Amino acid sequence: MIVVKNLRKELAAQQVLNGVDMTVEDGEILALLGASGAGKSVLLRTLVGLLEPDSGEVLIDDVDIHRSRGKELASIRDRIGMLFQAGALFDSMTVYDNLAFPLREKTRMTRTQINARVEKYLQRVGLSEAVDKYPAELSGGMQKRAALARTLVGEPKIIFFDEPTTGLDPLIGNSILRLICDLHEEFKFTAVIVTHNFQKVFQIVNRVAMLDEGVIRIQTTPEEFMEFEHPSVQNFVIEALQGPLEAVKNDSQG
Amino acid sequence: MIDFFAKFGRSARYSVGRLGLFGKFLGKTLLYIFVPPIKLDRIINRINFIGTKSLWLIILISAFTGAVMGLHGQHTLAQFGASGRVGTLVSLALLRELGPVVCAIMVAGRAGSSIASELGVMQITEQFDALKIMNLNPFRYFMAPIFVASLISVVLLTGIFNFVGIFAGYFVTGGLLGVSYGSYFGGVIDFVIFNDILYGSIKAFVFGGIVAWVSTYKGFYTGRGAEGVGRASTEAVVLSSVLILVSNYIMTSLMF
Repeated sequence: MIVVKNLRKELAAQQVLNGVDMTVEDGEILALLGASGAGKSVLLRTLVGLLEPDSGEVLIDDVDIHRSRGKELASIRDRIGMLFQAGALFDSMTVYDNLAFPLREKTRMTRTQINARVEKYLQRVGLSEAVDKYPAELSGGMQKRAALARTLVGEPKIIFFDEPTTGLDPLIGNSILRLICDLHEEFKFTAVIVTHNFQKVFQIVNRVAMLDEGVIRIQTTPEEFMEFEHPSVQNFVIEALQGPLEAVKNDSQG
Repeated sequence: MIDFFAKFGRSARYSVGRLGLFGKFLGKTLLYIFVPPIKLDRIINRINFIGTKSLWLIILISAFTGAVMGLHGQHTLAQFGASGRVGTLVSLALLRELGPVVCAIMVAGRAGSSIASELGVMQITEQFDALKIMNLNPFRYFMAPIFVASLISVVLLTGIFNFVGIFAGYFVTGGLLGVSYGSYFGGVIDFVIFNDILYGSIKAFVFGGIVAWVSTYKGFYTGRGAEGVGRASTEAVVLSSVLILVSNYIMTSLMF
């Protein structure tokens, strides 16, 4: 379970997170929504420990990731995985090595065991044929799937997804979301999906949290979110449904 | 006026902060050289990149450096009736100064810029963040192996630079200007002492460290986007070269 308490973060003299409180239950998929520039990625990077908050706590299974050191921190990190927006595959390594690298460096698995684990996850994302390819030789969708396989290969209990469909065409984007959903059913991990495109993720998430003006404006089910009467939420919903230009037109006419 | 002092203060604080970061970065790199497990395969891989792949460039540059030194030396010394000392001039100049300095600047230009770009691209594409999420330290996998490989490579390349340069000096002075083998190499053996080789090697060792330190730092703390990576690459070469020349002056004044 992830519990975030009064998280604050200032970047470039701007208060990006202004007291974020939220919880993510074990095994659920939570969509973290917000307009572009709302600070979703900053929140995500703070949740996984890539950014230090100015104040507040991020408790992962009751341990604060920002106050942990040494073995305690290593134990938290072993439980989490992250799918980066652009994949963040190591471009000097083949797809196989990208997956095998963390296993070689962090576990005592034998070569045979590593091969089996890598093969299992590459097969699961449909990339068994691409083991010897370098990231630059893969399409955007394939890179995303390879990155997803690398995230899963360490078998983390919690996975953070940073805009998993950004930069992909709608068909590939949907297939990635379907894959996340299937993998979630199979491996039962806890997932936090950061996105500004809630239409797509609503089909697969259990709950939604919306970041607005540095705070979590609402954390609820997708159905209740659509009905929530707050100007920021309603604007966000209208923009997401009609597109930003239509929303501006409606605003000026109304 | 207050604005001016405020700006000056901010700028000074920023510069001191960056300098501190630069020092801390070196400290962390040195720490991970000695903290096991040592990544020997990565060190060998980097020696191949920094050292082996710079070999032909170094041989070419050293050959022409030695040849030009021979030409100039022979003409100049002949005016004082000391043309027999051209071997001494070429070898001492190369062993004490030109070998380590030129070799290190060449390595900074070829490998240092490339390392800064590589790490810069890794930074902007979040590959270092991915390592951190995996609980793997980039200093263990990148900075420390590059540092060790650069130390070894620059020392070895400097040795090759000096060797080729001294022989190139002989080929020009002996082949074109008629200086005898005995006269040229007699001048080398009579005047070159062990300390010349030792001090030159110490310089090369320090310069190797500077090239690795600056290029990994500039790459790791690159600016945003392609422009940032390009700037990091250029700054790595410029700052490495400046630090090599400044530290060379300091070491020369202490050693000789």
